[in-house]
Amino acid sequence: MHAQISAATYRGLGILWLLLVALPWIMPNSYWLNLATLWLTNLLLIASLNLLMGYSGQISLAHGAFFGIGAYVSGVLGAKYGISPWIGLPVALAFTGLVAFIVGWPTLRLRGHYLAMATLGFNAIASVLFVELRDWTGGPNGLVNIPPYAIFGLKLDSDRAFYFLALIAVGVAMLLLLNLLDSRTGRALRALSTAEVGAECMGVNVHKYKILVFVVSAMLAALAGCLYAHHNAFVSPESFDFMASTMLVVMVALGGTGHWWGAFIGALIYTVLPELLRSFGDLELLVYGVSLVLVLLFFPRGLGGALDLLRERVLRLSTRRRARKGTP
Amino acid sequence: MDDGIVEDSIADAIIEVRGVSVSFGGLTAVADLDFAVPRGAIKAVIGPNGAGKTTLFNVISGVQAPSSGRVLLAGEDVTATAAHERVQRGLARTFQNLQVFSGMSVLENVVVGMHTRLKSGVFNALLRLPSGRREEVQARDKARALLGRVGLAAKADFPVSALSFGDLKIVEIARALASEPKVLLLDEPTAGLPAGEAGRVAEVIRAINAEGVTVLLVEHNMRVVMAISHDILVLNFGRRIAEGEPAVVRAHPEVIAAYLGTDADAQRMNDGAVGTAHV
Amino acid sequence: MDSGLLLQLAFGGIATGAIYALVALGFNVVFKSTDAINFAQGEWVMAGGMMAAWIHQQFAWPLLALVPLAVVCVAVLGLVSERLAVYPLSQPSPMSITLVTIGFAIATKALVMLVLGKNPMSLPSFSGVEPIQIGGASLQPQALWIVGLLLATMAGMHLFFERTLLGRAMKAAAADREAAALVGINVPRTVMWSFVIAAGTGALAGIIITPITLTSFNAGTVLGFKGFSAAMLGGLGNLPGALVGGLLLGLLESFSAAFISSKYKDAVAFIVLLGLLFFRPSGLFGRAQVQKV
Repeated sequence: MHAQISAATYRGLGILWLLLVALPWIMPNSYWLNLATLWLTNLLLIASLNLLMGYSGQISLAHGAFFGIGAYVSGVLGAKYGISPWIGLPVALAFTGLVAFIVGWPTLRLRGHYLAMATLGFNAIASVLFVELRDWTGGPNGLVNIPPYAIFGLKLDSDRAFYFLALIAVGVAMLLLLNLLDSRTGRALRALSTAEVGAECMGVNVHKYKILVFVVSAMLAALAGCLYAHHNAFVSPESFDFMASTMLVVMVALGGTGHWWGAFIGALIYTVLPELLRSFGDLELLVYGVSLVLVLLFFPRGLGGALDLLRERVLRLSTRRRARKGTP
Repeated sequence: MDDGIVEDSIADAIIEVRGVSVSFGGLTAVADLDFAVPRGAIKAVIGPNGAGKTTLFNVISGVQAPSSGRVLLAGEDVTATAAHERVQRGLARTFQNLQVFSGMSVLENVVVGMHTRLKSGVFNALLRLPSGRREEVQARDKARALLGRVGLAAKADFPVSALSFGDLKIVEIARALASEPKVLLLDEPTAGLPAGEAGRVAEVIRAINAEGVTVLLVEHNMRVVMAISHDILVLNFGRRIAEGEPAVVRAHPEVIAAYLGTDADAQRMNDGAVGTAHV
Repeated sequence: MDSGLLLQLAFGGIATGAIYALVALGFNVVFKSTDAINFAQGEWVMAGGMMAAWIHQQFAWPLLALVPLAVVCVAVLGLVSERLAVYPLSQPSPMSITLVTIGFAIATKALVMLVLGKNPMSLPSFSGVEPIQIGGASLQPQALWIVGLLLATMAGMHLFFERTLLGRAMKAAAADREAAALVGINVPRTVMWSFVIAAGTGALAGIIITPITLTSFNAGTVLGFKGFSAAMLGGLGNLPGALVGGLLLGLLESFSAAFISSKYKDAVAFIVLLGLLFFRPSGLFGRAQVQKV
């Protein structure tokens, strides 16, 4: 399921980030800049869910809820209590992490479809709370007047400024994630995802690691929530409901569950498809559904897996060509 | 029993099983079993299929909770201790039907075995601290050495999907060794190996034991069992029917009856030529 | 405590619960044969109701003609989905089948929206709207149809799985795929039938509930996840469990809406559900899955 994280993966991430830094000068159009910013937020969401689904082998339907908790906690602190978003960020992350721990502790001990059920229930509960705790969340009409991030009084609400903020935040998060996966911890995760009993009998505290992954993925979703809330200046409950959670699962599957670069592809699809289909209006949903089915049929490892196969084929062809030419 | 040490535990038994029973619904897999594994010995558990041997291993390693009874590891009651904890305390095992980590190389599988002996945690991982990186390099070197000892050095970097069942059983042994265990549980280590290989594995087990690791093994290959075991426990229908040195057990009428049923075949058993391969 | 009120709440809970139970039955049928969660179940229920409502609206056909036509259409939809996207799966693991059904769910919802429109639609009640008065509470006659259908479906499924060759073959395939194949059972065929049955019974359920709940293209989502919750509560794969789970969920919602808050009823119901499941993770009647090492 998961390829070994290698130096090549780090290099790839580095090159990608360099390109992204240069983006505002390569494509100065603010439309593209906003799209890229959206892609960055979506990447956080999908990569974190990919981590969870890839290593626990189960579907989580609570990712929208964690996204929302991050957004609302930081948003409410800023909009209602005037607390700086820089403080709201760690508070939101810590709170979401705690909630994830509480939900995960009893849930992850159990096998079967329990995680899907518990996360579904949890998302439903969260959705109700987002709507009903009106005094804080602003109710079904949403929360307004969320302040933007600011440094020394300078508001980071221009497209370019926020883009760089997101670039740094998401870049750091992805780097930390990569570090986590290429370590003793990452190896333990890969072990437990392929042979859980074997891992447990090799000394891996499976329960602890599953909770770790659940909490980390929830906190990354909350980070995305903070970025989203303070850039959009407005959040409403529909962005975090069952549909949102399901779409995130779809995107992870499209990219390839557990595949590192798959998350990047999934985020790209999630960001770009609505734009492409804007003119088709209602067909958007149909295209999502049909493309998911098609991708799963023809690329069981997702588009990320398809890329791997392509790369292997290219490598094989070039090796064969070199062999024929007589060069080793 | 203040510090977990059970008072009347047998002084030099590294594993003790006391009154352990395991039932699944109406099926009793293990019935009121008592035995001990002497420190430093190679003890074999034999018996016909379905005798409860793997279930016993599952109870000792912590994968299966017994319906009643206790398990002691180095004098301490570990019945309620989680499986991963028992590894910490020096117990390691292999699996009859393999629990290898697919998608990883042979080397990485063995490194997982070192999980309890490596120190770097999440914090170290996130920041990629040099101490963690150093540890990783050392771990890989050690793993490679272990694979060399069991004769798989050449295949260290192969994905596990490329290896045969027999080879993977040996990988599991190396992996279990990586945790630096005091006692090693081997579940049918020679199953799936071609004829000549069984002897090689037997030698590896002897070598491991010579370094001070106690070995408890489930085996069907009688030649291997008779050749290397100091002590044999015979199970049938989850109960002990004989226990003792190979010579004693081999002549025990109930044991012969359990396996073979007739006198004529008993001769073959005595020659150690019965090596039913249950794949 | 006014017994009339309690009875009223109970009726409401049973009616809603019966709807959830019907959806849960569909989940269980697919789960039994594939170990996968069929995300499209709620959408099939919706599609059945929508089809019937639309046909009624356009052609004013009588019930007797509407019902079979809508059921067959949706059953065919289930069949086509399975043949096109489950059967050819190179790795039919529960996870990949579950993911494919998410695709079906989205596609079905979109298709209904595109073809039948976004407007809510309804069907007339099967036997009039005059509520029946029992013990100080009133009961809609349609609710009796729903409960009746639930019981009939359960009886039908029981007979099917116990007495017919195909049904027993499906049970065998669900219990042990390889063993079933070895004795000559066409396992992929049983998977196909499970999808057809789930879609067909789902559609039937959708038609029966439309007179009470109205239906529109996005009604399937909530039904789906409530039905799934009911199935989990009763024990995935357990048919009587679906009945108990559904009724329990319906009653939970009904009573918490009245005694706690109608706004928080969903949250309360889920909290109780998750609590119950924590103590019995395989559901009230489910059997824990044993892992052999």
